[in-house]
Amino acid sequence: MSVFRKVFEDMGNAISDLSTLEVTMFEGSVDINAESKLDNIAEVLEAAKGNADVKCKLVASTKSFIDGDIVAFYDHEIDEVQRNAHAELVDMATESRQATIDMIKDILDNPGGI
Amino acid sequence: MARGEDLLPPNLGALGDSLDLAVAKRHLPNPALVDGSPNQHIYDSKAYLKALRSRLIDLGYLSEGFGKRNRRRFRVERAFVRAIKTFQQEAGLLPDGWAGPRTWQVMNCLVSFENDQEATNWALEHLDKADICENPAVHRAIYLRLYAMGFFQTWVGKKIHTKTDFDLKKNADYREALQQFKAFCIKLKLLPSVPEVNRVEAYSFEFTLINCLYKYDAFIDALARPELFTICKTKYRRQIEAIARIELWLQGYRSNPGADTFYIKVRRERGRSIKQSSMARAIADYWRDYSDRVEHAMEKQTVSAQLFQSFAFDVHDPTDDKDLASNIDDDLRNILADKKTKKTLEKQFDAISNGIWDGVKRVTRWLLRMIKRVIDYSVDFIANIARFISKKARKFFSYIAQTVNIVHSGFTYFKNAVFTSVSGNRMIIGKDGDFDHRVLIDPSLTPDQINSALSDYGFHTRVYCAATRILSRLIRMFSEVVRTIVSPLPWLSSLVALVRFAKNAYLIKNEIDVLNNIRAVQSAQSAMLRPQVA
Repeated sequence: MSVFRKVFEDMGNAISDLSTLEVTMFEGSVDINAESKLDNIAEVLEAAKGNADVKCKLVASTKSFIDGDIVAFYDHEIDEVQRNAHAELVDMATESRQATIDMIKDILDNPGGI
Repeated sequence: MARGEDLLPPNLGALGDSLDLAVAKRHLPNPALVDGSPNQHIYDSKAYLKALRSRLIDLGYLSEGFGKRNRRRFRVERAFVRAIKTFQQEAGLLPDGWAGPRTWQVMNCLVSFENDQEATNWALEHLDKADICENPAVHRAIYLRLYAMGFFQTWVGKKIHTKTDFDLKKNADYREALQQFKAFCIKLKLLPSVPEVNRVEAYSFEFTLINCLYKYDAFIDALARPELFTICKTKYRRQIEAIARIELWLQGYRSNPGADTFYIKVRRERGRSIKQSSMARAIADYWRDYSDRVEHAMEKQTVSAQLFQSFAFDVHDPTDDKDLASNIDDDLRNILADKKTKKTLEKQFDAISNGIWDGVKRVTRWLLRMIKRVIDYSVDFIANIARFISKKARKFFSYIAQTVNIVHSGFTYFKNAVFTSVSGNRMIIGKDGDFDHRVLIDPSLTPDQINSALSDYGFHTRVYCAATRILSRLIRMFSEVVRTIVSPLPWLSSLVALVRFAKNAYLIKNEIDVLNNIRAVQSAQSAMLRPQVA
């Protein structure tokens, strides 16, 4: 399968879940082999859980909806650096999602290009 | 002119005089006149226009202008066209203002001394003898002819001009000149003798008189007769001299017809300039060319019956029809017979050939230098253009490569789910297809390490955003191409598409520049775009 076709299929799948955006931040230590290939964060967290010495804790979570509603959670022990990093990640994710939506809109407007 | 003649070797001068004589006898075309000009567009040529203007001025249709400038000009201005029309109207031609061959022929018949005229054969259409006598153009021509032949009392003030009155009843000078001419003709037995001039005839033109006036050769023949010359030489000295002057001028000598004589400085003696009249000089020149025809030295500078006999001999010369080439051959044979003149001629030809050869060499060298310069300049110019194109092409290729790189990096970012940063994978960012993010931060990380990791990841998101925008532009560009191909107005669509294409290309370039700036600020290596995301 060609790269572009796969990309556009992935994009099509993503559209269905573009209405919400969730950014979650955990604190914990994890040891991952540099050569290992990770496909999603679930595997990482799973690997973290496997380590008995590791304490993985939710420190911040933000869920924003397409209609503008935002639900945010911050642990009371979160430090300033983590708070700022969380906010910055929310901005980056929002920007990436918006860029994707704009591109899809352009493609729909100019189907002749495809 | 006189100084130039003095500088010429005698035999070359003789050759020139032979050529002048040939021109005068119409064996060769006169370069100063339009007749016989090789110019195919003769009636538009400058020489023709100047000759025409000169004749119109001579006939009083056009003014001389300040400093006689109208004779030197060849412009076709309104006054000139008006003068032509007036002449055409008076001469009985179609007054269209265009002086073609017919107008020129009529004008020549009226003005020229070169050919005898039979007034009844004139090209004035639908005119009988009475009409010719009443024709205003003929009146002007008669006036001019009488003036040139010296029948007016003085040269000054009597010359024809635009205000001249050609009515015999009103113009006493004209009337008197005509009467004097008539008497002169009677003396020369060109007209029958009458007891006394009729009062009525004094105010009108007679056809026989006009015909006589235009039989110019008849005057030469009559004055060649010693008894007639003797009768007239005292009373009509001025007129005889004027006729001689005309004939000399026709034969190419500088005799200034239709004007008073002038003096030429010929040499200096004892601190004083010795002057000679133009007429005496012309006669002397004439006799020098025909030295075998005169015996007495005294005759050589005065107008005499012998001079007219020589003129008459020229007019009726059986050798007139002699081939010009044989004349030139004879002249050359004479020149080459004398060793001294032959040597002089050879020297002259040597000098001329050397001059021509030097000129050719100089022109060749100049041309070679010019060609070399042009080639050098062209090579430099082409090299500069090639450098410019190469520079632009490199830049263009660079932008294309970066575009491909950015799009590839953007989609790699979109495809990848987990990004690790900081040595030991102590900060992991997981991204889902719907851009949900989950981040795991090691508590031991310092704030700087966290910020550095976020900065790296932020650059990836920026690359992704730029890639989506670039892709949008590319899709628009391809869309324009498709629209142009299927459009019913391809040329219009092509123009619009070209404008949009250029605009999108410019925006893609901007995206690349912005990313390059960010990369520069972060001091990141260009290679980070791909391997870090992958």
